[in-house]
Amino acid sequence: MDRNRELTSEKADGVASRAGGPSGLLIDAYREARQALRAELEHHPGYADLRQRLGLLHLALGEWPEAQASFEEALGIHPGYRAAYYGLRASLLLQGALDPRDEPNPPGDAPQTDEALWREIDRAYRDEASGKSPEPEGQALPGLVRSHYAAAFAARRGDAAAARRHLLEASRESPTSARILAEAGLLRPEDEEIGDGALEALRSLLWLPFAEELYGYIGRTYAAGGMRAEAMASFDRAYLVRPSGAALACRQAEAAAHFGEEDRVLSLLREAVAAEPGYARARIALGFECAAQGYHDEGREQLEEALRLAPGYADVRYNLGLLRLENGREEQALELFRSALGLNPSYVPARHSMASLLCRLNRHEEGLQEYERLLRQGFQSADMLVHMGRAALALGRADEALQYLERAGFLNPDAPAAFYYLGVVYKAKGLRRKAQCAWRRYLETSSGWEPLPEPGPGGAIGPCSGPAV
Amino acid sequence: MAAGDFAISAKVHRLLKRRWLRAEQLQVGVTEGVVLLRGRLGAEAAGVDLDDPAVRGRFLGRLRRDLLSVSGVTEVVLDVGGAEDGGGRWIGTGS
Repeated sequence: MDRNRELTSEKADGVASRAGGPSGLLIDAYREARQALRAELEHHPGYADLRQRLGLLHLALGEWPEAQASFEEALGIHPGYRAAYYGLRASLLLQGALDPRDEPNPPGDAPQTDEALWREIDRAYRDEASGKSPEPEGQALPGLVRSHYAAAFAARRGDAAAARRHLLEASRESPTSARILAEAGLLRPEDEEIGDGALEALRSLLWLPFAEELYGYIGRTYAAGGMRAEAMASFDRAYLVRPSGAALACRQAEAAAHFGEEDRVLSLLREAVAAEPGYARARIALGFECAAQGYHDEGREQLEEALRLAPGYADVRYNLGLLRLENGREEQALELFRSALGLNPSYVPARHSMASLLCRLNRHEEGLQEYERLLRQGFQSADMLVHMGRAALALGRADEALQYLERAGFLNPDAPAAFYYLGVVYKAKGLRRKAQCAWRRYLETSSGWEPLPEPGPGGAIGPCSGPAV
Repeated sequence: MAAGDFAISAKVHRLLKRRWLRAEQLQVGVTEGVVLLRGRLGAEAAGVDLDDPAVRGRFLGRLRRDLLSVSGVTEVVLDVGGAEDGGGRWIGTGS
């Protein structure tokens, strides 16, 4: 597909032909996105991020009042949501409903990483609203962002020469920008001016840095529909409004994964890390991808580095804990699980793995306490209840074990381990008939299972090791 | 036996990405081969209506089969709302 034509001719409603599909089959990613977001909001009205995304979608479609309403709703749910705050200001400025002299005063105490950039773009919109020529050239903007946005605001006021000058700056500064601008037909070095089509294409983009999230979502929608070229063009739009080569490569990797291009996924993620070594999300994605493809050392290195860059990511701590466990470093694993829970006490997998490890280390009482915490959090599974039953057995508390195991058997009547241990407890309590029933059920459900290991030590009644559920 | 839980976790993360699921909103865990997914099930792309009960049921059924096909996985616990299969194997705490 001609990328140039695609980017510059896509209407605001985003209708494009489905590549390789039946003739005339169309996909309207923006309409699909709108429907999907509304449907999701019907079921989850309290999710501020969905309202934020819908607000951005309205902004991209020029629906200012609807955008305003969505951002206000997002802020109503999460008053400290700063991207929603700046989105609301943009929607008000574009409607002429905000005094351009009104400086931003965002809610909450924690500035976002990109906040200086958002503030500078806000100033450019205010300048535009007050009739000045906005030149987003403040010190807060990195060079490439400054060039992109200076070109955008020049295009918005119809200054083709200035727009071209700034696009040339961007093109000189970044090969990725040069590639995208050339492929999109926005900048041809041989032309002295950029054409009306290119100006219109520049104007049609939603020039807010956090709009990259919307263009990413639209791109993934195209990719999910099998429309690779349209997906890539949307990812390019995300790059234009927030020029991060690493984020672009990560999005391209997601699409490559969808299209089954395993080698390309790895090379794109490595490219992302090389482009922005401090981008933790890229390292996490590369870490999992490497580990999944068998490159264990590289996977470990990437996750270790991600943890150094972003120590607040509980999931990275948890996964490094699993890795330590595989390497036989149980105490380090416990420490990582604990630290993950310190960051997020509701992190169920970390508590689950920690409880299991404590039991494996014969620290049954501690393990049982962690499992009990999970029950109090509203989580239960047959697997977990069997582990609890085994721990209670190891502690010689048959009645307690019985409660857990009966509950496990009720939750999953096909869980062989639940019935095996139920048989053990029933027999120990002299309930022979019940024990026979339980073991019969165990035999019915355990076909293909490994033979039971020898009973472990410590239990007054029965084994503390056995098959998985 | 905990061996392989990290490798399984990596493959599960990869699988979720390929299904366009928002991994950031899900807690993903593996304990002795048992995969646990907990949290909000949302799609990263429009067009997959995971709130439609029928679509969601089919999607979760496929997801569970795919997860069980990962080497080393012995069981899958989906605590994502609407994941009950009638047999009690999965549990759902509601959305």
